[in-house]
Amino acid sequence: MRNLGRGLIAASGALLVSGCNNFEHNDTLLFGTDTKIALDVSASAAQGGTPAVTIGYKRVEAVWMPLYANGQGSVCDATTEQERRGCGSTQDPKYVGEGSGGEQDAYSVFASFGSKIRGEAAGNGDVGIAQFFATGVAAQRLADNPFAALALSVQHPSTGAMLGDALKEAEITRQYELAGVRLTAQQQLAEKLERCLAQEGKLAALSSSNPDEEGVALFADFVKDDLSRENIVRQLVFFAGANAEIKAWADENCS
Amino acid sequence: MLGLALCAGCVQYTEDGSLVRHHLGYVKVITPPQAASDRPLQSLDIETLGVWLDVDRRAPEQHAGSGFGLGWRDDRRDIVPIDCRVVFRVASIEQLDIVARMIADSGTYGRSLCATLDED
Repeated sequence: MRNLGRGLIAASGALLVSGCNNFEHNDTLLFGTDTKIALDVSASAAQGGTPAVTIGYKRVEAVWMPLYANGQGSVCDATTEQERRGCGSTQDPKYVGEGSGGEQDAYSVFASFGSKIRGEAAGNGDVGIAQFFATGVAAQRLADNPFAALALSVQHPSTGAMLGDALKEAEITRQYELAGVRLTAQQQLAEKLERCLAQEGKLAALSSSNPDEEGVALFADFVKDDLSRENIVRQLVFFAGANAEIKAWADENCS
Repeated sequence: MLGLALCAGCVQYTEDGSLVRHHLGYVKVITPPQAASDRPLQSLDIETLGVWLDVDRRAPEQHAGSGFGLGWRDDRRDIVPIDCRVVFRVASIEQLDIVARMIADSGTYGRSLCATLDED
């Protein structure tokens, strides 16, 4: 509840009150969405108090987040260890992320999928319009995943169609050239796994081969109902981080 | 509209009381559980079908938030605690599945996955 209170204070500062630079540092990130379908007459701080008239649809998204490290009021200034939970040392400030090249950045990321539209006439079911807000090192890592952009922007949430589109995209576009190279290796591995996992007991053996590696167990779980080569390739693409373990297992256990 | 105006209403204050928002009509308020300080993500949602009136009680030269509206409005705020680095808001189970796979694939976002469910 304390977080909620802090968040509301932050929201008030971000959205409603001028003189934001006087606000105390806040340890929570707050994301606000204000949607109207209305006749609305208002004057907001963002517009400098100038009245604005809206007739119809209006949507405002705003983020209030801690951007500087260990500022006044941060939990990192707290005196007890419990209050400092989650805070790095002074040499490792909480709100600074560091990239692989040693660069520093703001720490928080917010990503969201927004509206849901039902397309009955086309027979396509629900369609999701993706929205996301991102910053910091986590955003860099999202961007490193060649399929993240597709997953965040694709229109049809149907998993199979989505992954199929992603794979086609990876094969035919220069942008996903790297993914295409990986795909070739994964297709060879998938061919081997398709034959191997169809044998009795092999799937269970893979699942339990390395209980500390969640990626391998998840991969086995996602292919258990569909051992087709196409599905195995799809799962290998999404579990690329566990590919080395899966390949090592296949080399050892599959002829 | 008069009927709507009479059937429900609430008042929302900023922390310092400088801005008061009146809601008249059908108003739905979704608040986090009272004992939820340890929950990973908290959402506050105020949905209004009717009339809203924002009254800025500061001095005239500081006014910035007054206004009124008639129609539908959804004001949602998500409060994300210190340990959350990436938050996805998904519209369907299928999208949740895709995001879960993406997280598993990356291997860089940690091993904890928390979820909260919107009322649809």
